Amino acid sequence: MRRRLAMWTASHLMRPLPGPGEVHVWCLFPEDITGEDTALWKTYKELLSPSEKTHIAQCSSNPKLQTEKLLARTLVRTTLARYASGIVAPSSLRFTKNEFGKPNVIWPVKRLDKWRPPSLCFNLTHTQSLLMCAVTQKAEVGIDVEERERKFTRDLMALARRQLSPEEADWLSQFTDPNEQRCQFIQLWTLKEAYVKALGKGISKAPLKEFTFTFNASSPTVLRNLKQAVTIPISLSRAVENSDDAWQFLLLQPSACHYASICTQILPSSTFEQGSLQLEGWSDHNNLRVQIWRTVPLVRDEALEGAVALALSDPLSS
Amino acid sequence: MGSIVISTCSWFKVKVYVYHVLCAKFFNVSFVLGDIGLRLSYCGADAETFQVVSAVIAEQLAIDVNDVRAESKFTDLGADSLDTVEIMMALEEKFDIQLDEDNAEQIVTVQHAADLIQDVVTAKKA
Repeated sequence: MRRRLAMWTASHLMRPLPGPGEVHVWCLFPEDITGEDTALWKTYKELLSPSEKTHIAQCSSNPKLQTEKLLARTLVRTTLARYASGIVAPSSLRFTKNEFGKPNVIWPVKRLDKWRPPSLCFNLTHTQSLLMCAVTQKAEVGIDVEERERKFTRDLMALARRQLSPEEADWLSQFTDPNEQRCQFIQLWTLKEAYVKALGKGISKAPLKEFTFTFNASSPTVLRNLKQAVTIPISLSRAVENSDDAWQFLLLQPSACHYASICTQILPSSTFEQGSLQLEGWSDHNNLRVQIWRTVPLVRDEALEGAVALALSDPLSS
Repeated sequence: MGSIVISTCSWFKVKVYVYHVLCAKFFNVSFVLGDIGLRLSYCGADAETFQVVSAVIAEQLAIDVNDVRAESKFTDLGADSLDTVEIMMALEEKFDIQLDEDNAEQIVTVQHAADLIQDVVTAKKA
């Protein structure tokens, strides 16, 4: 118990809050945790609430799925607790959902001397091989990750016609190489999902077919490093409820095997702190800053090596 | 033609099918109310439909079909949003039906999916 306490109060685990216009992204690769580290797995399980434990045990007997769910809850709990200056234990957080299923955190401690719980927005996404948690201060955020080699059981263009906007489907149909077409579809999908998740109002208020992402037509190549990030214009053919909000999108490859998109709200008045930027070659335009870590919760954090930004939007009104 | 679910108690559903009301024009007004069919079904969808739906879901998610229970939510079974769409498309193909997008979005559990499929299949046959 003392060791665990020491683990999460250790100073390297306490993070300054994301500044205005900043997104913190915490990546957990299950391959970083070995099966033999039974003490660590046990510690993770003990972070969970009774209802979370029951839920994981009941919903599926598939061990991989159970592991994924356990790690998802571990990641979100430990991530949020990082920003509480050691005052709050990961296990003491409670979570609720809004009417559309968007999760929210309830801090167990409302005040301690001068400390107040931070106004954090967060969003979680996961596949079996990578879990990501994005955190901002006050700005709504959405994140979605997909495996690059994801297998599709349905015909891709049929899926595209059904789920993407007509313009996006047309654009996708131009790609003749099935591999490239699949990659582009996945990228588009993560962008759309990140947006819907950031809005937090469910699919019905932001149907996927009713907004369009377009990549700059003069840059058809998929892989680019950040210095040549492509603009992603987003047009909405129908006004979504938060029509006076501005949103920014980042499409990236957190690893060679994954695509992810982050969507964040741009708040009106921003003052910028001097922050260090983890993405190599990040340029300061568009007032979006992202810090990405590779973490083994309660054990270590390191800068995420090899992440590549593919596309970045200009701050646009939705 | 539509179906109206009167009670959504999970173990017992009464569905009253109200068929077309046809009225002849002019003077010869005759109402053909058609049949008001009363159908009692435990758990909504019949067992066979449920089995086929479960099998499709299990195949799509590459999981054991025994893990697919009536009350299982798609997300609980490991489905992400793309999986859910592919499942819907697979079910449409299997049952040779079209699923309305609005209805499809209401689906949370396997039972919901099976019930919706059953409704659409039955509506198609009639």
